[in-house]
Amino acid sequence: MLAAETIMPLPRLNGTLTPKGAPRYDELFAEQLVTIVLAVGFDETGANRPVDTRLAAGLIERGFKLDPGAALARLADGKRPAPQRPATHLLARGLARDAGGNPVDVVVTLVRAGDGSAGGDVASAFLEGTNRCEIAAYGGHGRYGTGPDFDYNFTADLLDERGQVSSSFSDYRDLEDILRERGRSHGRTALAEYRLLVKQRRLVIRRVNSGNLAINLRNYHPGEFGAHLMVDQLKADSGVRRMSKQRFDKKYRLWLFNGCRTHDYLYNLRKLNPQANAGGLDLVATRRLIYWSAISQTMLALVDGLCARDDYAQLLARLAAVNPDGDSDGETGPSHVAELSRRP
Amino acid sequence: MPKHLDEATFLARLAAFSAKSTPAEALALAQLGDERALPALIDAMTDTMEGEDISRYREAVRDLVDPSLLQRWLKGDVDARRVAAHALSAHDPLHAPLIADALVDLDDQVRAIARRSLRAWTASPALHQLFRGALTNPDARVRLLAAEGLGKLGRHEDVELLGEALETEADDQTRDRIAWALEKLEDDASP
Repeated sequence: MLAAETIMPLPRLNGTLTPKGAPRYDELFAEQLVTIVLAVGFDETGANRPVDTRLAAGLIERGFKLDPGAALARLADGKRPAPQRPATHLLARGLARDAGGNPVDVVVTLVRAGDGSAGGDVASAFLEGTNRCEIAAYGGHGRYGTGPDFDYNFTADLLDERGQVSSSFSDYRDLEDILRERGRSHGRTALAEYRLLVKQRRLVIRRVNSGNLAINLRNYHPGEFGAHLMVDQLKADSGVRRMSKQRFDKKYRLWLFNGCRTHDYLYNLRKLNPQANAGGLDLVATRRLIYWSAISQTMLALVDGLCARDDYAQLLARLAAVNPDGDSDGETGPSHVAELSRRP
Repeated sequence: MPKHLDEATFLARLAAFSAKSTPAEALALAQLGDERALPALIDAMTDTMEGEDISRYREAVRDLVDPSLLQRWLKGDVDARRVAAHALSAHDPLHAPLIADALVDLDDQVRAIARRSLRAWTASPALHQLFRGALTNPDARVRLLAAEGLGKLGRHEDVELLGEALETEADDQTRDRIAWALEKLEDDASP
């Protein structure tokens, strides 16, 4: 009886603020080439759109050229697989140096959710990039620990007593405001109001999950309405795209997930994706809330750090420098953590 | 009632908020009723990605804006219009005519922000008129949302308008949504 009443903590990995060692640059920079996929997720208020622009502009400032033909030719010369999905490819020659001081070219594949109308395609392009490229980085909503997202999540219609739609929503933040307001007069929380209305079939939710890449469906944030809605909707969708379904070739990779509290992803990425881990997978994630205004700088800082052959301590410091310390979720201190694969 | 601070104190608080925002200060600034705080409040609202602060930033924006303020800002320069567009809400019937104007603004960002406001709404006669007018908007994405809205509002009187739109609609997805709305309205009217 006691055991049944004991609340077990959910399994998780938190990563470390003090990682030892460096990315395996000899593998990342093989054939004097490194390939990177950078993805920008979706926001219901359009906050991702300036990030799209700033990220592309930042790459151009660093010497990248928007020349898909040259980028694809360099991939072939460097014995790298050709991209299989539509995306933007940029090439910078000699941006980094290998251990012998030889120039290393960098090919960046840029995928962006834009207005969210093709979220499924963008998610596919990012997923393809995570397998094909040595380095992958996602910047966007963490979706309460569930995974990257490239489009809207749902449409929720609130029905009146006659069954007519009285209000419609496509943003959980907007829905939460209304549910909190409605529930207040009955002493119910937004979550309790949500559960009641769903049970009464007065809140009809149509899922839009084609742009979600589900890494984790545990609810690490049970005190937050958005977390319940996100996890509920993804769990109820048998067709949801799970990261664990993805096939990966065996090679060393480095992934950055730059959304809010993406350390929630770490346990499943390590435990449920054996193929991705087979050749070595170094993970960098966040340990607190971050902000849209810092997303492009963070992605560019990753590129800068890798081209400068940062070790992991330097890389985390570089990422923290562009993510201002805040206490809005009760967490202060550096923004990012690392969870590194075992060294051979 | 708005409280008043001397100019220097207000500007110092605004600058401090812009540098490091907190929901408590957002609500306090909104209570002052000085519309110069609007850009900073909108920035804080749209910059916050997750967590409970978002609702409080949204509340601060709602506290500060009223339709007459939005109308003035939406007639201002492009920066003012972009800021004001973020405060538009189709849950408020008084915003409906403002959204209609913003949907045909000269600036594509203002139009895009206004378009997103059509995804979340509360039924009202003003909203109904907004959707009817938006059915002829030059942007197919606006027309699609208008057709979806009319279908959900469920007024049989819109069958004729939707039928005309279906005749001329060139966008496949929008045509599909108009057809869905027509089917729904006709089914709703069946005994």
